Amino acid sequence: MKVLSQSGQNITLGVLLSQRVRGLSDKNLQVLRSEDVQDRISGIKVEALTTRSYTDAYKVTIPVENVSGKLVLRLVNPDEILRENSEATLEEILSYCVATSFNNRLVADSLLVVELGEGNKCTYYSKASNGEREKELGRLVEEQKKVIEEILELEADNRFAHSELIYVIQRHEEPYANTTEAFGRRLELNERIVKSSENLAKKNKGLINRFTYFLNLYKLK
Amino acid sequence: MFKLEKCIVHSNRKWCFVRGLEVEKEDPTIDKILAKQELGLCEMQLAKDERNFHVWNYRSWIINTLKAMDQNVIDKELKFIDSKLESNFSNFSALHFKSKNLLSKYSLYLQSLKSQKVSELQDSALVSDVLLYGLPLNTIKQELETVKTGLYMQSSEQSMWLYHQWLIDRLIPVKVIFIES
Repeated sequence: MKVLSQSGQNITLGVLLSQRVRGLSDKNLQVLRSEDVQDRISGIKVEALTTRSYTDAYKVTIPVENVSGKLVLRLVNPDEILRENSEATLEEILSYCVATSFNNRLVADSLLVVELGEGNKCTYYSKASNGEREKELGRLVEEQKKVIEEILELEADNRFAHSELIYVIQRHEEPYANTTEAFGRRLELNERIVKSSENLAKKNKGLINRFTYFLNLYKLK
Repeated sequence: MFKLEKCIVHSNRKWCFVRGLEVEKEDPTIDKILAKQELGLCEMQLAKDERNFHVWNYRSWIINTLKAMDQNVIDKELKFIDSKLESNFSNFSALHFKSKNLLSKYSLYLQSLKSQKVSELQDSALVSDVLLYGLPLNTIKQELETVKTGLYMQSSEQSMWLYHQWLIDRLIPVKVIFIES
């Protein structure tokens, strides 16, 4: 996917989909302002462009006034665009593919979130769309964080536990982009890491200095 | 073989295994006979040194060769790995191959359902879990509980932390695909 242009009140996206997805139209694609399915932008236009070796290109024109922010793309009733006079099999569902340089698959139960920044900068990632399931995952990750924090309380200088805590926090946060909002999130994250490192700091000054250095770096940005 | 626990010994046995399958291809039980013999040998070697990664690699190769013929092979292997982990949880090779075998088991499960219509899927929740996380969510929860005990008991062992990280990675389906500027 690529932002082709942002002119006037429209954003035009170029979207590449696997050839198994045929006849994509505005009935099968929704563009949302957030991950809430009710927060939908109406009046999008989907236009088929060229066919490449394994992908079909589409031009998606989105009538939005604010050109900076988050957009969420959602395939609606994906079975329909795969069906071709027969019911979709699991093999076909597995073949939903948003052609990116990493060949990430967009399965039926996921959203493609696109964050648009200044100067056509575009960040996108997939995310599970099921709200209840997301909450359950969040709870599980929180439990794991508590386990690690308990181990850190018992063994303040356990470097494996410490790096695991940082890893879990970082992976669970939203991916960051080069925007003020994203740096704000990152700053908050680093403050939490430093806070969680208070015990460790008593024993390991070098490590806490390193965190403080990164924290200051983000503050400067 | 017990004196020379080197990779080259296992490479030679791999060659013998493949040749054995080719030469005796008319015998339908040859794969099971050879596998039983080789897996038995691996068990003896692992009883002597449970962390010998040459043996674990060879064992994994045998399992991968056989799994297409018999899906129960992976279940049996997972039981074997669990028995090794019960005696000592801090076994990097065992944990590594456990993760590989778990993914392999559910990948084969998806393969077996490929020709089915979506509306006819018996356990669509399980299929959805496997599509999103590679494993059923319940399995991830069970594994996290198991590894939690290990973390409390041997928190200075890196192998368990790496396994924990792998499980956490399964839980977070949010990932940056690409940042374009």
